[in-house]
Amino acid sequence: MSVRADAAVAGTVRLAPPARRQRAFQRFLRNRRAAAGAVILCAFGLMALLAPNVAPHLPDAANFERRLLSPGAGHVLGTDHLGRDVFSRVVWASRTSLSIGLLSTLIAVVLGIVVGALAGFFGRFVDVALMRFTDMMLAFPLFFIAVMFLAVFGPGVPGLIFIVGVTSWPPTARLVRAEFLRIKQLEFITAARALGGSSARIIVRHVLPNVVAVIVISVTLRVGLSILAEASLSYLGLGVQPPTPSWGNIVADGREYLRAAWWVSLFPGAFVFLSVMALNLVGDGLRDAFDPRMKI
Amino acid sequence: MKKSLVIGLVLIIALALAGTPGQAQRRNQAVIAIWGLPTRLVGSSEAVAAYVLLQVHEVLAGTDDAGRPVARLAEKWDRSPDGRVYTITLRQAKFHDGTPVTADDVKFSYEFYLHPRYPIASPSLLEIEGAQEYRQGRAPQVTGISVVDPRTVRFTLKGRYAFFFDQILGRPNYIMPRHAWEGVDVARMLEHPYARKPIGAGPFRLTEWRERESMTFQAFPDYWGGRPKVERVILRLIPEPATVMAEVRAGNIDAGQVLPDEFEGFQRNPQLQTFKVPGDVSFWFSFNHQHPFFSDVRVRRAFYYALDRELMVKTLQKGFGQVVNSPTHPSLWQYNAGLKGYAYDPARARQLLSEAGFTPGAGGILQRDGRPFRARYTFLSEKRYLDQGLMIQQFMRQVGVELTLEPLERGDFFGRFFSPANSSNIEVAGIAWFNLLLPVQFEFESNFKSTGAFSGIFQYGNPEIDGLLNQTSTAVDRGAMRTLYYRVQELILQDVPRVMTFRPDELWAVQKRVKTPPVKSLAEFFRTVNLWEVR
Amino acid sequence: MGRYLARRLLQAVPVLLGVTIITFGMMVAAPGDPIRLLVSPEQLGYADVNVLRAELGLDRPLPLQFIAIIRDLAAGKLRSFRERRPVTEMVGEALVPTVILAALAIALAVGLSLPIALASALRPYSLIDHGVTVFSLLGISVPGFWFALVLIFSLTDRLGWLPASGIRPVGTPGYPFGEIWPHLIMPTAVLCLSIVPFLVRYARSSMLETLTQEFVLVARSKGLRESRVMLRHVLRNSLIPVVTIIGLLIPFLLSGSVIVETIFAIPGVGRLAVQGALSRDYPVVMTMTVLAAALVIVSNVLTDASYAMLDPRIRYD
Repeated sequence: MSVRADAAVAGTVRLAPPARRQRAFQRFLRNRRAAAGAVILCAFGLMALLAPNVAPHLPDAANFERRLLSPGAGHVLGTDHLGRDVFSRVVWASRTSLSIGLLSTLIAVVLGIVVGALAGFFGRFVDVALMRFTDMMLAFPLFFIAVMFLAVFGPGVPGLIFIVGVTSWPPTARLVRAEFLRIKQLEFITAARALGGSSARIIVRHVLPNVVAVIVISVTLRVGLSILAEASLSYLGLGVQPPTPSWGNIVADGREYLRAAWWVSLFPGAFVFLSVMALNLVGDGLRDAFDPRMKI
Repeated sequence: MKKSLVIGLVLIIALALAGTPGQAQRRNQAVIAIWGLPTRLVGSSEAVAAYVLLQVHEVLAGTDDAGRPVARLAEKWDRSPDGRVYTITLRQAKFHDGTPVTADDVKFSYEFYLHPRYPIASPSLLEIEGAQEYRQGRAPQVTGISVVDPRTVRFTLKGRYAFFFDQILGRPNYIMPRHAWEGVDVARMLEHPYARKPIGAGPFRLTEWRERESMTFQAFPDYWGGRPKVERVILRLIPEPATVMAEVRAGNIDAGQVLPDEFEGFQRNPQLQTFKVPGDVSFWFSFNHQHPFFSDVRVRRAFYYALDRELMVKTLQKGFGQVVNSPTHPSLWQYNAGLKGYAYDPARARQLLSEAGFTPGAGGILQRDGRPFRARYTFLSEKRYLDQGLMIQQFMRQVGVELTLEPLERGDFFGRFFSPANSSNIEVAGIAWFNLLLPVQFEFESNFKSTGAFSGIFQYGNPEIDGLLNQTSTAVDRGAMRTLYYRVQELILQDVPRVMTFRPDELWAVQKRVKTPPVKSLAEFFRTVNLWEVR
Repeated sequence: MGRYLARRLLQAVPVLLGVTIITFGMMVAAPGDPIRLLVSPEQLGYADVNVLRAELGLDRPLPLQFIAIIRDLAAGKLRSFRERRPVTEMVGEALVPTVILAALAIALAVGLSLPIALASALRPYSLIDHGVTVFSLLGISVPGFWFALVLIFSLTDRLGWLPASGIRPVGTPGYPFGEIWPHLIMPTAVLCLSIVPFLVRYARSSMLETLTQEFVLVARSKGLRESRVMLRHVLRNSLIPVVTIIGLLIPFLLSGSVIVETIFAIPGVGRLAVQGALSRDYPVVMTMTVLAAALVIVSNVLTDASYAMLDPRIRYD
């Protein structure tokens, strides 16, 4: 039964998934901005993965005689107030900041998929209730909540990942739901249903693959926002605690020496900016590649 | 007609030359940048509140640098031969609302501070006869304070008490007006309007309090010490030091703190004057003295030898600071300047540790009976403590002691630090100490006496120190007291209840147009605001 | 419409109650004793902790505390632990700077975004359009706190042009715009940076859509002046989605105010909330979360209502 149903479904899908993906990939590569973003992302990703090899010094290797040296020989981005190499700290911090961004996005996206799928697939009462809740959360001052939460429960990486993840799922939920709604109406689903396929099977085999595109784009954009959130929270002292370096708390460290040693605060902030920008470029590129009219 | 015209013209010219009073007022003001504002002005135990209360309130007496009593609201006094009864004559002073300061106000104020529901307990006030009973609610008033006549008040003490002037008559026992506070439920004193607009006998009136923003003080013309020359003083809250410096440079702030890295730049600035005094804060860390490692004094001394404290001052303060061998502020007469501290000598540290039974173990970490010398170093998660912690960790690592840094944020830290049940959680912990806010005797007792609060946390007790501190209150004269205090400081250095690292300098920049008297401490800076002049 | 509004607002009550319960739970579960935070270490042993605890009502059993909180919250009589003043008074004072900055930021953002979006929509895929897109991308990628520091470094430290702290010069009574405007420039710029890109994007796509619609072609073919076409038809119609999004920006600005107020030392609502949370000032935290929730609900309702009002084609429930 199922094989026949699948065959019937496959024939009525608008575009075969593999072909669609191939064309999208080509479109993406032609987009110069997106390609640039992808290059930057790869570079940062490699930097984070290979941190021990890329960084010339250990992040907490303090040399008290060489404090606040300006960028130059021996220290590409200068040293901070304890004589630690800023470049090394920034490289090691990329591990922290990027992985926190990824992990919290993972939580957010998983939650978002679950909520969005439930709402989109079951519709009616479930949909209304879940969407009301989602709308409410969307409008909530999320950073505000994160700050309060961390201020009360104490700063730290687990709390950070948790609260950023738990407050960022609504946009993903909305997108997933929209995709579900769109696909639900397509003929091939009705056909599959008519031929007797179970709900779960329909979701997994036919709906999800089409949703993947949306999810990937959403993830890419969300990671950027998570990185920004982590940097801001760490700057305020509520996120990653020193001496563990994160881009946000290195900027905070350099705050006192802004006039005397601007490089301590400037460079980590620049890295945050570049990585978020790269993620946005890639995300936009992906969206344009798949469907420029997508409302993300 | 012509005459009146001429007179009118002369008047106009005179006014123009003198400037309208409003303009002069606006110029005759000083804006001070401060890192925090108090949240309450009665029953407060905050350090910042002390600086504010100094401007608004007045006490009966105090002591000078040499420890001699200084008259303030009390003009003169007589002491009974047995040293128990002081009869004090008040000078003709007024409160901000114009009413005279009377003996009734004095008695009322002290009973306010001794009230059972007053949130701060003052052990020294309990030296007054009848104070204990009153504090415990067993008596309707303090029998040891009696009003002889409107200008005379008599204090009867339980026994001879050497700290009468600085701990009973002195700060923070400010005289409050009875007519303003009479009948107020002490438990709800903060809800009283005068809690936010205090009426005191100090040189300034608090005229405006913008929460978390600024506090404005106006000169009190009838202040007994003479009307302050500066008309208005504004305390402006600026939490970030970098911003303070920017505002001082821009001329928006008249006095503000400067960070060590920028101080030289400020010294060269022709529009500003700078001053540098030993700070009111000194840094230290202490041990859980019940811990098997730290109960041995050789181990504790090893810590001193292992730390290059001069390098800490150079690195963290750019040299603006002093290595500390005594917990007392250098400007005080009790300060023992002759103490010779521990030099930086890692070899000696290692030697002491091996004498204490430690041998090199795995990974370069010392061990004893199979147990590696690891300890947690707990501190407040603020940048300055973290930086020190990192340096201390590095130094100790070089002699084979592995310290794990444990920064805690405020709620966590104070919760753990201050509850006896959790004190066993502490192995090594560090904080800073604000000197000069409380009497020296109290500081010593609280920190080093076996019954003191900090001793409770760190489980330290030294009978010799206890004995010495017990004798001070009955010392015959200041010379004898000084000998006792000097010895206490020696013992603190020898027995190492805590390791004292350094005292950062207070670095301030002041606009040239504001003339401030030379001071020896930040507390004195805030005590002498009423002597400032603005050109 | 009235019934719809009433129903939505009524639905708000259980939400607010839920928020209160969650916040209370958080405060109870949080580590650290608020009493210890009210006493500075120097005064340790000097301060009578039990008296303080009784003064704040923290010695009562939890359910009683909760009921007292609800009762005081509803009556607006909650008093801060640290300052012992009614929290409503504190919030009222703190709201002024925050609202000034938020209103200014929105006004500026809208004023900047609309012309930019229009210019971009009129010439899609041109150099201007690309420039605008890149600029939008930059705007959403720059960390707010970093941008603030860059501004402070250049405009205050190096050039000395603008003040970097507070919202008004010392001693200024009230908030007279003529005197406080230098203090407003940098914080507003930082806030704007976070919302202009969104507005531009949104307005641009909305305008693009409007421009291709038939009634515009009709108006053009009727021979109306280009500017008239723009103003009367394009702008008005594309404004609808933009107006609705402004309502959603308000809670977003509250978040932004936390950073801006901390960096620029502005005594606003964001800073009040953070400091309240850091010092475990339960009444302040409770009031702030309830207020934030109320703000969200109100702005949601207003957004929906204004959407319905502006576009008669939309019907609600």
